[in-house]
Amino acid sequence: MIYLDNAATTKMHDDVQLEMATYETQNYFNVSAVYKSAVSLNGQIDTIRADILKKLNGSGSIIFTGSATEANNLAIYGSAKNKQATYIFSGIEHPSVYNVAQDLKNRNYNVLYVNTLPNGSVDVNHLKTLLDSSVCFVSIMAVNNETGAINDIKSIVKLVKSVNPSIIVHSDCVQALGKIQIDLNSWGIDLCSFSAHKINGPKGVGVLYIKSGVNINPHILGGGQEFGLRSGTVNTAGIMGFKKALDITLQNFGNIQKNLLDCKINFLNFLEQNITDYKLNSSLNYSVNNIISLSFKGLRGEVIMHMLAEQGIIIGTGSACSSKHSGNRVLSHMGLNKNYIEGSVRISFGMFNTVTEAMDCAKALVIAVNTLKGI
Amino acid sequence: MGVILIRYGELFLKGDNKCYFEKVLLNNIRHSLDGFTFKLKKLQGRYLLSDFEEKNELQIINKLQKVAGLHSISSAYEMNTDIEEIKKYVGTLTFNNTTFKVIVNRADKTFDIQSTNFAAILGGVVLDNNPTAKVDVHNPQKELYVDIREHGKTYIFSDIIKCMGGMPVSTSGRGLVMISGGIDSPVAAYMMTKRGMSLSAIHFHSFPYTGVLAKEKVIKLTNIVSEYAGHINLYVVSFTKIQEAIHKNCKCEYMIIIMRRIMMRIACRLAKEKGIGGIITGESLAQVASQTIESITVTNAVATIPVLRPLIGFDKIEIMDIARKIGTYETSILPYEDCCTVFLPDHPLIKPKVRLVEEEESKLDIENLINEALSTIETIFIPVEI
Repeated sequence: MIYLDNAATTKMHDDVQLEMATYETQNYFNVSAVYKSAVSLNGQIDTIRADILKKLNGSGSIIFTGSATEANNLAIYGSAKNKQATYIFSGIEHPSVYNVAQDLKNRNYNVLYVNTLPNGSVDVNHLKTLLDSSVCFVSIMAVNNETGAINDIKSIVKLVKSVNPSIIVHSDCVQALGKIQIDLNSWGIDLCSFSAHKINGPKGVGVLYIKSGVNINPHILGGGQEFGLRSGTVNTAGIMGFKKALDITLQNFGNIQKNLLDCKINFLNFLEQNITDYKLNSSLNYSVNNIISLSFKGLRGEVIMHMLAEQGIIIGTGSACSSKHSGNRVLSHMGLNKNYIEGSVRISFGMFNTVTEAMDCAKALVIAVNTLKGI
Repeated sequence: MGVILIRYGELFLKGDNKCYFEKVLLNNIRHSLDGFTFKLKKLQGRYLLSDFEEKNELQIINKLQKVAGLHSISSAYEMNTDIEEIKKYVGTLTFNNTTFKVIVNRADKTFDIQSTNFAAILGGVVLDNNPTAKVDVHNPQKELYVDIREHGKTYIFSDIIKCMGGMPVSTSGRGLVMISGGIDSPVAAYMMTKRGMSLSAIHFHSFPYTGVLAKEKVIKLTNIVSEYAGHINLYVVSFTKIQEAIHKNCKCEYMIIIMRRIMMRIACRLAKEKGIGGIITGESLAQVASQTIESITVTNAVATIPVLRPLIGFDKIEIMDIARKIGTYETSILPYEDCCTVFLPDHPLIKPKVRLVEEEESKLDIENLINEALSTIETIFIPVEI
């Protein structure tokens, strides 16, 4: 099997699994307890918080959650304190942000959406026009999960803060971690969400970074873990797994990125030479190396995906293609024509993929597309 | 002792062959309660289920409601037919702040007191023990049934739970239901189960145009239907090559009608091979282009065994109501593509004619396409979930 759906989830790294096993079977104590082994484990968790802050150059707190979805929910609901104020989101956010924004809107919060450029990045000029004294919160993802398009969070934060420094800026950085350089202090970001399973770590571990001085409200109440912001027994093994995965990803950042870029370039070159009438849904120079979103006019992404699956190649669809639910919010927001949207697929490489695998996929894709065009 | 009284429906209309139907029904009841301990006894015109574990009673009632041929059931208290004992038991029942009516059925004519008189006596017992209760014989909030049977036993109960009705499964032959994954076909399957048919199912799958989820959906729907019908063999036919051939060779507006005729031919061939007596479809007249009387005529023209269309006169809303009642609706509306939506023409024929469709079909090597499809059928055994 060639697995090229790494933007959905990644295979856990063997070292991560080994690291976690110790904390599942030997050092498994509840860090909220007061006996020595638990206190010691709690100390280790705090060291990891500090280490993550150091690696991402942040100043504030690291809150561990049960997923990035939960981290995004905490960031937004935790900041939605003023019903009179304006909340700004991009229209291409992951459902864990977009659906929360919609929920706020349904509850009569003033919610605005920033336009998207045809290359998949948010339209910063449009954002400028939306910013005024009523705005209290802005959430814009760093890397889009469907197209791989990058948003310049540093510039966006600078722009927002120039209008009003007290506006809280959040960024869903799930697809950015390990794919672009993240420098939280330099970005000046207030809230940032991350996920472990997108970087070869375990599922069920999310992180919310909260800059010093930023206050949000909890929305899961209980034993008061995670500084009272996310109650629930601390997932020690998961956190250790996240830490290990982050170490591996950042220590090998250069090599991993080079490999991902090689995969992407070779893949796209082959495609360009062998197929016409398709669209690359991001700008090559302004998207991450691991995600390629393609749309084929008049075809259906789901069908292409099934054809490749039959060859043992797993890719994702860019669209929930079906007669009853056609369309794709992200691609529609970019202004892509419906004929192309239905024919969208997403190929996303990971650290274990090779250029040969990328080329096998490219070849199979060309055959599938040409077959379907011939029908 | 807590028991369940089981009453059957249309079976009472049967003549000399009634015992055959009863035997099948008893077997079906036993099968539906696989995994539970119980005793099942035949009384006159009803069955008695006893000696089950009290904690399983609700589950047992739920299972019995899905047995075709049963009219109703009641959770009852069984006691010896003794006037004083009955009065004593009725006196323990609670009827606070409620209106009630006592209904006595005296199948045992040797019982001394007439039904209406005994009902009045028991009503008095209830009033003596429940000062806030009131009798209302027209529109009571609560009814108390006292069923005095011939074998010296009396059954007291307050609810009559409606069951499926109809005829016992497998007393009306076997049907092959064409199941697509939509709302209608599982309902059609249920309707024929209710009339006593045992089922097999055929599904046309178009990988890669339809995905694994579409097939899983059909398996799940068949699973739900099996709760009523018993185990089902689901035959999955790969339809891709046939659709591609029609798409390539025939006029696009003929796509659906030719597709349906080939599906019908395959279903009939399979049914004959498996000794199945009829095809069941979820067609409802005029619901879509392929279900006009003209389209049905053209599709029917290739059928070689009877085609049963239990929903033909039903509105979509009525069909949806039944789907909700039998538990298939939520699965049916999952948005996975079925093969009928692949290669969908913008304007399908509404009033096709047999001669013209046959002309169009002559561009295909239908016999070979059908033989190939039949030779690659996948059979999935859908057991009844316990």
